[in-house]
Amino acid sequence: MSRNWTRYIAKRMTALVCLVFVISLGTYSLMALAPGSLVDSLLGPRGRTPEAVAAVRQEYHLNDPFLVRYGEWLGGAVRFDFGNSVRTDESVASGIEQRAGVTVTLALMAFAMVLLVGVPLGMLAATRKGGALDGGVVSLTTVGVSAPPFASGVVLLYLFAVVLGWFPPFGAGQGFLDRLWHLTLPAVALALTAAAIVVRVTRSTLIRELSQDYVVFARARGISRREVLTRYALRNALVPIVTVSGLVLGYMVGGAVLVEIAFSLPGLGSFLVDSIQYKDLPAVQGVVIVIAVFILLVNFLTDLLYVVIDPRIRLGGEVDG
Amino acid sequence: MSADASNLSVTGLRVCADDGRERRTLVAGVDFTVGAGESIAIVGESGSGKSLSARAAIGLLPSGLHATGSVRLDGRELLGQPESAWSKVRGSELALVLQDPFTTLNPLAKCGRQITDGPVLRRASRAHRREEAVRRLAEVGIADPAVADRYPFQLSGGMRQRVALAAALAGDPRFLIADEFSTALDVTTQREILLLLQRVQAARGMGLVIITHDLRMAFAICDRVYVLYAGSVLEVGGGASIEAEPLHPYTLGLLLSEPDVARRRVKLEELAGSVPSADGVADQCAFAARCRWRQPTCVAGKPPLVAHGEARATACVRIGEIRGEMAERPAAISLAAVPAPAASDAPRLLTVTGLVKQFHGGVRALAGVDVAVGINESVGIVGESGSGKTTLARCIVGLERPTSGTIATDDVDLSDWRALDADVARTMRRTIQYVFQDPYSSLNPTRTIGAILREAVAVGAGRQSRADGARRVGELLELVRLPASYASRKPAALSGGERQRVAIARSLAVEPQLIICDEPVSALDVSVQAQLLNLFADIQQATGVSYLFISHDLAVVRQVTERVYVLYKGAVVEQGATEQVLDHPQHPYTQQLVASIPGMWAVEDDALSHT
Amino acid sequence: MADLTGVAELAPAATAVEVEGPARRRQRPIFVILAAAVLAIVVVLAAIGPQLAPHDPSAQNVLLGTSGPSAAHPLGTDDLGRDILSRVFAGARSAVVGPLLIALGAAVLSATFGLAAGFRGRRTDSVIMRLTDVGLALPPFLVILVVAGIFNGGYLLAVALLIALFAPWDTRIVRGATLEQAPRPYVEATTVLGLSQRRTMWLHILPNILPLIVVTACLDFAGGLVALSGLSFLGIGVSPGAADWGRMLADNEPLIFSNPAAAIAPGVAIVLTAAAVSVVGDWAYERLSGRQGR
Repeated sequence: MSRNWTRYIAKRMTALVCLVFVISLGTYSLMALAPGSLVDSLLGPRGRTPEAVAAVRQEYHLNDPFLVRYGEWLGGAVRFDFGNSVRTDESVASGIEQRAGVTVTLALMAFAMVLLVGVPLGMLAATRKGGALDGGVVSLTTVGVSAPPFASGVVLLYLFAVVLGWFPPFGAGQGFLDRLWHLTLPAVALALTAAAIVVRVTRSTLIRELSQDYVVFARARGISRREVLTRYALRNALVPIVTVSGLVLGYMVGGAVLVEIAFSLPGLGSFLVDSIQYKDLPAVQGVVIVIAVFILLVNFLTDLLYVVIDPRIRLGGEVDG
Repeated sequence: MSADASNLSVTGLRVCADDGRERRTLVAGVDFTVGAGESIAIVGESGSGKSLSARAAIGLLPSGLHATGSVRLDGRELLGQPESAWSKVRGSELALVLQDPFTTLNPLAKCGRQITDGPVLRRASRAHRREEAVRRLAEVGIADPAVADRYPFQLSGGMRQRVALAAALAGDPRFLIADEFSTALDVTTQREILLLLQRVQAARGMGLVIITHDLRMAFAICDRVYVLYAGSVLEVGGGASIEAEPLHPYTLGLLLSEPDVARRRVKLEELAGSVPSADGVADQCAFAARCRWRQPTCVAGKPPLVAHGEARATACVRIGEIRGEMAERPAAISLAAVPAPAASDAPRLLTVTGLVKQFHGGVRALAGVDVAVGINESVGIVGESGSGKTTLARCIVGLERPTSGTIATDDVDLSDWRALDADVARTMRRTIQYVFQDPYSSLNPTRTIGAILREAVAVGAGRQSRADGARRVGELLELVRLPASYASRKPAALSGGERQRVAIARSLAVEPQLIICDEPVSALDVSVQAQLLNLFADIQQATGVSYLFISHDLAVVRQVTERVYVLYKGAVVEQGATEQVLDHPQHPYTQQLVASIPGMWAVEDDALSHT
Repeated sequence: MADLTGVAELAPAATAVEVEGPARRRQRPIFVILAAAVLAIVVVLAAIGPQLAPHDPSAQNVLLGTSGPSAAHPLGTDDLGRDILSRVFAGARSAVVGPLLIALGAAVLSATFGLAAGFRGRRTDSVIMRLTDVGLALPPFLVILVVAGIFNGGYLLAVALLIALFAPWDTRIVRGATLEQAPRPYVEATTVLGLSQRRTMWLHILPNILPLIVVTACLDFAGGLVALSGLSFLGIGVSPGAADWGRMLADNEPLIFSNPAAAIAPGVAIVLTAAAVSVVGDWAYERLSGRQGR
């Protein structure tokens, strides 16, 4: 029977690798399709003499056939070598390394906030369904879902950094604690929308589970309300909650970009935006691949989690009476 | 009644739904009592309030519903107490088991764990818990200890109900409420489960409350039966005595509208109309609107339940006067029993040969089936779940594709509908039609009845003028005995029985020669079922259409068909004239089927008879 | 669920819309009315905003520079002396047109492909599933950021890209809803009657999944608004100096110390509009489902 889930993992892994290939090809094709911008951004409008153009094309192998160039790039990418940034002339990989710390900390802080606040709040609303608390929570989440991180970021910035002065408005700080302090507001901004979604999904899934027969039967046997909630209903509600958490993590990557710009944080997101604006294609490709692999890994981990949570998946599906 | 002081006593129970805007009464003053070692049944159709009464007695009403009245356990009042008082009592004194085996157990916990999950056994050591689980599984007839380590989805429906029972009994309760506990199971499994309930009850000296819609089953098992209708109790008494002489027109009507597996009747007794809401009949006899003996006294006020002789009570104010008339009715109907028509040698309408259907994943639904239907014939297909009867029906009409074998009319091979020429397919669609089991999803909820029927008519007759279409729709509605005004209503405004009539009308719209009916009355109450079975017969008389009637219910098959095929695990194990097969079954499976019908138990099992 | 990949594949489609089903809370009428009012105002502004504005949205007053709220300028002015309130009015157009196109485009695409995938069966379904798989793999915003950024994309390119990126999610939702309806007897009855597949999909199944499509379209609107303003926040898709709410947020953020209203007002406008659409979408879902008598 365990054959089923090893096959499942193998299947998902293959899908992951294929997807990474497709994405890498796509990103690489962007460069080929983008209208001569690499040459432009290096030389500027004035330096475009035929010789200079030819020299640049030579140096960056722009004359080789597409697949050869792709193959070379892919070879480097696998070794985590994305070439040199056109903008800074440093290795893209080192640029990524420097910036990644901030972004990872930011994302983790936000994710922790989302789970530690979102799930309990959703549970609370579900158990007090129809009450004032539930109403308040639903209204709040409606606003939360509609508030993009850059908008809420600016408001938070104003309230807590400018008016109250509790947190610094810009920058990522030095040292561990200082960094956490600097990243609090950005993390909250990032977490807001995601938390609203998680609260909603937790609440509605729990409400659905709590109305199921097995909950009634458990209570009929004398099991307490609290235990039924945690050991029966919540466990069954986990699959959609885990799904959404996975989605949320993916969403955070996009949100992180916006938050880093709003709060002037030197992270991967702002690195990406700067590179895009400069048409620094090696850097863009490098960052995109790293982010894509990260997201796909998260999806893969979520799939693994399903296997752990739900024995029906592990042991091969349904049996009908 | 036992002289023991221990009992569960419910008095004046009212359950209301209060959603802020309106207040609906669902249970309007119900009393029942069960003592230790006794078994009672609360019987009713849908809308009677029987399930809610059971839930209220254990304090587990769905949110939005409130109960008032009294629920006393050994004299201690429970209703209105805080949750902590109820928690102490549930599992250890009162227990409940539910209807649906597929949702009653936690899908993510192993069976053994669930059995010992109650407050009593939860704190025990792992080894002790396992031991207990195995012991209790044995009590419910599961000898294999490995079941304790399985998940619910790995077990069949019958097994899951047994596990649920073991879990409910784990706290050694003194009273058990079984809410339609066996309804979702096959007839043969039903019988086993009910016998199990009885054994367990006898061994433990428990009080048993059985909630069911099946009168015959209630009679077979219980000491005392309460008949519920629209939220009120109409009659109380012992099973045998009610069966011998019902003291309420509703009970009488219910008994008479059930088809009889032992004989076919010309017409089943119909209770015209449908179940009213409890609020609508708050100040009168709940059944008055549908009663043939109705008088002004019946609607003058709510009739109380009055004792009538030993251990019987009825809420019919006129019982004294009409008792004699009521007693005559069963005889009047039985006399009219018509011998089943002999199987004809008429030319064949449909021939199925060697039909095999294998699904992905290896399930073999049909293993070579031969069936034939003649013109103006009514043929039955009988079987339990897994027999392949529905698959057979679906293959014939093209909703599934058979793996091998042939389906043919006189001149057309229907084995693969997709391969048919468009014109041929269109003709065949007008020859063979289908009525589905579930009336609640048979009709498109967003369309009016008129639109649904017009579309079907257009298939048969091509484009027609508005007037013609409307006229035809009116004719169809009349044929199924629905008012013409229904054409502008949407399905949500119709009851289950009415929706099924529309489905029948839809199938008749193309003027087919054969209608395949897949369990068309299984989802309906007995009183409504009778209306439809009579309708089927009348339609056949009027139009000469043939039926291929799929059912698991032998009594229905007896009433409606001349010839029958018995299906078991995808193969025909017996066939012949309905009368023959049901009166003298040859194949052991058919014999087992017949023996599992509650009405037939007493013949086999002395231990079951109750006086 | 014998096919194990089925779980993970369906999972992304289990958005708040689907999962919410039975737990939907009935909207209090006052909120719905407020939301409808906000939407009405925004639509009017989108149509004739610049005419309604107290000042010309692009009129500069460099001498005045940044100033706080006053009688002449209720929300103050930005660093070039432009009236914030008027610019907010003017920004409504790009906040409505693009998201509207996105919602409609994604709805049409998802209805077409989702119905086909859910109803026509195995082969069509797996082809469409593979296509949507790729679309689901990455967060839409990132893809648009990169593509629009690299190609110097304008507003319309961003809109087209968002349609292409929202469509896979919506297709999954429509497919799920279609799969739920397809085995129901009323759909099978159309097969038995011999009605064409096209007729069944569009005239029978579609009306029954309409509430879901409507609320998804509303969520697409809100999501499109958020994504587009995010892009313009980063300087992509909108020309500098345009009165676009996202752009204004970015441009006015440095003014947070001198005229906070300049930075906050466009953000509030975005949030209010997106929230209003969500509320109206929820209400529409309830009304439409109710009409089906469920």
